[in-house]
Amino acid sequence: MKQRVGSVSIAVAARNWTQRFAFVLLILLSFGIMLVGKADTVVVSRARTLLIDLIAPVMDAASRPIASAKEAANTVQELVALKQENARLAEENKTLLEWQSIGRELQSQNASLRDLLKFTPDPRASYVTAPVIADASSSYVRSLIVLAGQNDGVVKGQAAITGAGLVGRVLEVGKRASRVLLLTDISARVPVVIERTRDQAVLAGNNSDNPELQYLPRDVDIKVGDRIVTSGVGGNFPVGLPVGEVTRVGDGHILVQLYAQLERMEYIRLVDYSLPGILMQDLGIDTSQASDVTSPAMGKLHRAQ
Amino acid sequence: MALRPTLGQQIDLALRRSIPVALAVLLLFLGLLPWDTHGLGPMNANLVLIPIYYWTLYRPQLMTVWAVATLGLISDFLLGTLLGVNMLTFLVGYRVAVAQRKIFAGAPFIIVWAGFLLMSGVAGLVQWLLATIVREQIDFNLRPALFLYMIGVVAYPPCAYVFAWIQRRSLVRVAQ
Repeated sequence: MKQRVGSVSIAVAARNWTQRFAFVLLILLSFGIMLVGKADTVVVSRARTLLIDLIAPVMDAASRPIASAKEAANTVQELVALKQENARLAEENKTLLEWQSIGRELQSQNASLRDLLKFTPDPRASYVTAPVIADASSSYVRSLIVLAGQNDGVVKGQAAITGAGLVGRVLEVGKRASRVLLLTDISARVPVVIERTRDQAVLAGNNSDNPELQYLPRDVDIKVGDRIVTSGVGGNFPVGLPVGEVTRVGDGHILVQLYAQLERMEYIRLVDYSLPGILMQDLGIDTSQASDVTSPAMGKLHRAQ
Repeated sequence: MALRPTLGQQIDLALRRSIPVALAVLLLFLGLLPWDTHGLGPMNANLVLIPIYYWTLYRPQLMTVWAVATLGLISDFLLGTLLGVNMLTFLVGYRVAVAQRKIFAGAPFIIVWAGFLLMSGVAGLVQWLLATIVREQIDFNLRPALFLYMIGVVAYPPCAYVFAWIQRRSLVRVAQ
């Protein structure tokens, strides 16, 4: 009897001790997890993708009403501005027709020059269109979760684009969902070129909506409105993907307004340009496999060559 | 002699006891949805501080330190932040709420709300400090953090109203 009372009191004391020190233990544990997370990124990344895969169907279902609401709001806005929009489009159409004729001329000229130089054309890109199911951003990270993963041929490092321009790159790939690191994230770095001057720079995210240009030559002649496109350096992105335009120059900072509206994206394209980029080579990923994967059962996804 | 509860009653009690943490998970997922905030910034993670604060004040047994740590860790996994950052942030917020429980628990709503402002402010500061240490650079762009803070402050009253309603309806007989 005495022995039983003794063991119960030990158990109670142990429980009290645990409760009393649980907070301190967990604080220490969180620091420990931070250190592990910093050191062993592969295991952590796998765990993350596993969790993303698990929540993907739930987030997909939950994000649909929001997508519908966004669409409805856009429709109302478009209806209100229909007349003005029509006039603007007519004007734009005129300009585009002029550009079309110039483009055709340049295309034929380019073809003949390539023929003369025995130029090897860029590999054709294949892409997966995926719905955005979660905005996994907070004050200090900017990323999205999209409903397309390994099953759909998504590979780490692929470019994420919209019709307007570059959005970011694929950071983590699960079986059916992936995380896209946005250009605005503080750790995002993309080699770019200023279209007008051909000066090379690096577009660096800063957790604001306007990433900044770094490593520009000192005497660079840059103006507000200059177009920024990818330079292709590093081989992760092809040359000439539209990124944005310079929106502010001064105070030692050159800020860029991205063409893609990051908050209004319902779908994005994950593009495989089959480029043997530095990132892919470092990770030992065989990029050639990506374009051979067939379309998944997800109705909304399209794959095209 | 006290009657032993049936299996059904035990399940019912367990479900009721899990309501506060389930609400926190729900808010975490709501914050993850791709809302259009018109360029003001992302709007998640810190919404979870609302249920942590509320239930720590009114049903501390149902929002344990272990649950808070787990919520933080899930948040880290989903947001892609360095593991442990949100865990530590939520734990510090929880500790602030625990420390102020006696002052705020029976106080008028406006005082309780002010307590949440304090708690989420401290949590935001911890988040900023950790982000600075992790990246080894100071982030002076505080607009997204302030926006998140404001979202939390504005969202607190309606959330607290819903929580109080749930508390009256489902948690009256559950141990304090």
